[in-house]
Amino acid sequence: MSGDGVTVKIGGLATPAFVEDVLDTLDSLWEATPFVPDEDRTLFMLAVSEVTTNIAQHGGDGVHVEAQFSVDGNQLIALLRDTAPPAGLDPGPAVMPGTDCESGRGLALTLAVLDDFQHDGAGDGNVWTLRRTFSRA
Amino acid sequence: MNLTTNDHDGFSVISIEGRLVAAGAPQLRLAVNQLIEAGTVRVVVDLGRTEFIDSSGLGALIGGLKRARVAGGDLRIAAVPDAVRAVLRLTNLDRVLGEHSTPETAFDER
Repeated sequence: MSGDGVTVKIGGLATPAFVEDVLDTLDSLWEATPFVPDEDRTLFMLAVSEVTTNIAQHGGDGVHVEAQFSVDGNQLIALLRDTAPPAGLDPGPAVMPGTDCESGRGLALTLAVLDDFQHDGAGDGNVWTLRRTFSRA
Repeated sequence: MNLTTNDHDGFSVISIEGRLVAAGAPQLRLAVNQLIEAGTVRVVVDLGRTEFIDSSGLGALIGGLKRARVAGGDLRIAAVPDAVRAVLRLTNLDRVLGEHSTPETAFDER
């Protein structure tokens, strides 16, 4: 990590309320990094919200998440570790569904707004790494 | 997220303050359903104080739109902030959800 990096962390049980806590934590990151453009904040938050919500909705009961968010140079980086059974990523839903669909956009949106999205489900739980590059004014 | 509903002449306005994500999306679905069951099929969702939306929030808007249209009405969105519009455009839902500058004028051309 370069010298001007800022990192915030949060952990908790994966619930819809925890998603709100995660987004509050990202807001605290933005307060410390006013140079990050608004659109990059919004789209990175979108990916983080989708991944965290997916863990909360599909990970099972009692899943714990440790999340770390960083601004490093011109990169927004999220690292989420959960205790859910290793998730199988189905590339099918990565296609944006039709405009009349009420669900199924999460993974497609995540991939659309990130420059890099990695999932490692081989160990005890899952590790999700999200990166978005922004332009510094 | 805070949700409030106000009745106007011929339509109702649901105002969303804060983030429209998984925790609050069921509240929006419920509010739209209650309006339609009570006979109000023209619904405006005022997003003027909505800070952020994700796919859960989008799903609630589309669900409400479908419910309103099946009932013979419509659901329109108003006062859309840039942060919400960016997500609508990614999903092409900006073309489906009629966007209006203010809640009061959303049903002017009925």
